[in-house]
Amino acid sequence: MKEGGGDALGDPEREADQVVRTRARHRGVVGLDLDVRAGEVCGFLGPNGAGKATIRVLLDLIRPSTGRAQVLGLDRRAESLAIRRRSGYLPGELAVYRRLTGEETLRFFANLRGGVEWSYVRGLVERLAFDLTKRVADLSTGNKRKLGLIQAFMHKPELLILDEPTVGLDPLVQRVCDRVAFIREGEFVAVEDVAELTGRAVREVEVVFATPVEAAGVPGVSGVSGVNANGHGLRLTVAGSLDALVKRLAQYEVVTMTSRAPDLEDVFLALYGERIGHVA
Amino acid sequence: MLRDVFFKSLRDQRRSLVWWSLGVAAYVAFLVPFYPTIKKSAVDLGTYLENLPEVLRTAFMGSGGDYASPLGYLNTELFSWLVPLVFIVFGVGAGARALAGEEETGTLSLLLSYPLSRRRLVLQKSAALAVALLVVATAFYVSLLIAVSAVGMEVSAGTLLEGVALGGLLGLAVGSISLTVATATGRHAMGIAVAAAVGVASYLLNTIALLSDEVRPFRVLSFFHYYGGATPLSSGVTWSAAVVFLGTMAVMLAATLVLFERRGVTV
Repeated sequence: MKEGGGDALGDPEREADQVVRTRARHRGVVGLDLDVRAGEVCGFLGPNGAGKATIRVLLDLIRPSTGRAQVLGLDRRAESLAIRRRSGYLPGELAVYRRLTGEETLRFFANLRGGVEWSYVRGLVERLAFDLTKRVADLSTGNKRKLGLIQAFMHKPELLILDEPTVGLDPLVQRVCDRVAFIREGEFVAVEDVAELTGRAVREVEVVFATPVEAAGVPGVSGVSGVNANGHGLRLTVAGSLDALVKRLAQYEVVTMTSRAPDLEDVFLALYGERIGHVA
Repeated sequence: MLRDVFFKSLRDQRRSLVWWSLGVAAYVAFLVPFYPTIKKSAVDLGTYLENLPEVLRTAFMGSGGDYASPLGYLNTELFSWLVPLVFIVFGVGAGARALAGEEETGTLSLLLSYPLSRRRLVLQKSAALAVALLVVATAFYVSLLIAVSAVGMEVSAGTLLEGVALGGLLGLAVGSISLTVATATGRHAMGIAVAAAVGVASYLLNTIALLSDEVRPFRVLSFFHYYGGATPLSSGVTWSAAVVFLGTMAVMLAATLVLFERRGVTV
């Protein structure tokens, strides 16, 4: 999930005072507190059942048993209509009216907002190369997602809540998000800066040497673990900076060196493990 | 037609409304032309009916018994069963689908993320149900008017209007129960089950009450009592009928507003 105005589709006008402050308690969600700043894109990750979907309390779709939440400085319950007027939502499991065409769907939703600037909608449609004439029932999953994105963006909302805007979203989260909030069993495990997080992440490295090198004296280099030597090849994992490892390897003739980009899910699991005291 | 939820709901039902209207008109067009023949053999038929056991005569022919008169014929063949059946089945189905249908297909959560209060949503969906019933009632009424005048039956337009209006009001009351239960539980099948049970129980209670002195006082609890039992054309829209049917609708509407407002929409 992402909140905030930093917007993949680009939008020049955004108001500044954009804060989401959540203090909701729902079944399984305990005292969450998340501030999202204006113009920021905040990812919201966690395993299934962790409580991500509870963010829907912000739109008054579900009712917390106790607790309060404020969105854009407004009370989520008493001022829900004002919040919904100023926000856009893409549900995780998007269901739209199957018998309407894309155009009819967007017209209907625009009318529910009292009309939107149609030229802007046209622009979104063109950028996403979306076919307005097809019936929703005949759209592919990807095109349905596009329709969902257009309706969420079409009134230039100050706050966007996008539940799984893309499937297999990790690369997108890393590219688009400024910060990521990890949720686990209803509690925030961490709210992290994405750049810092990927810098700290554990990554797998594979090195192929010109000549057989027995472990290359790599074990013992700071951050390195799980070394697996195999003739010319070497496979290992590194936590944090690669600097020390690269300096050690520089003594040998290196043919190739590959490093898989750290998966936020892995980072999350590492954090998750740490907190409950299991092996990370 | 996509101006708001009210118009869109009617638009969604447009095919269904066309078919229901055509079906109703077809049945009327099929049934009414038989009347002149029936009238000629009225004496034989009267004897036959007299010989039926009282239970059967009451249950299936109505208490009026004058099958050969225009009112008796229409009461027996249409208003004692088909008219209430059509309005109840249509009202219950449309009421159950109004909001629970959207919840079950998952479109409700997106709809509710728009600046549209739940109160407004319920009011617009309920209004669409009432207007849809009005469309079916109009089809019924117009086809009856045409058929009756074509055959030369002596029935006033006002009498027919009251009979059809009673059916529409009955459908509105039972349909409202369906809408409330389905919306409160989020399950359209629950609305259909409860409302259909109320409809059937109502029908049975009224029919038994006509035959049994012990049960008779309880017929005030039956919607069919206010509908006029088997002879709605004879009784017409009484004050008590209007109060009971519209009152039921109002109570159900209030209940829907309260119950839906309290609920979380999970899908």
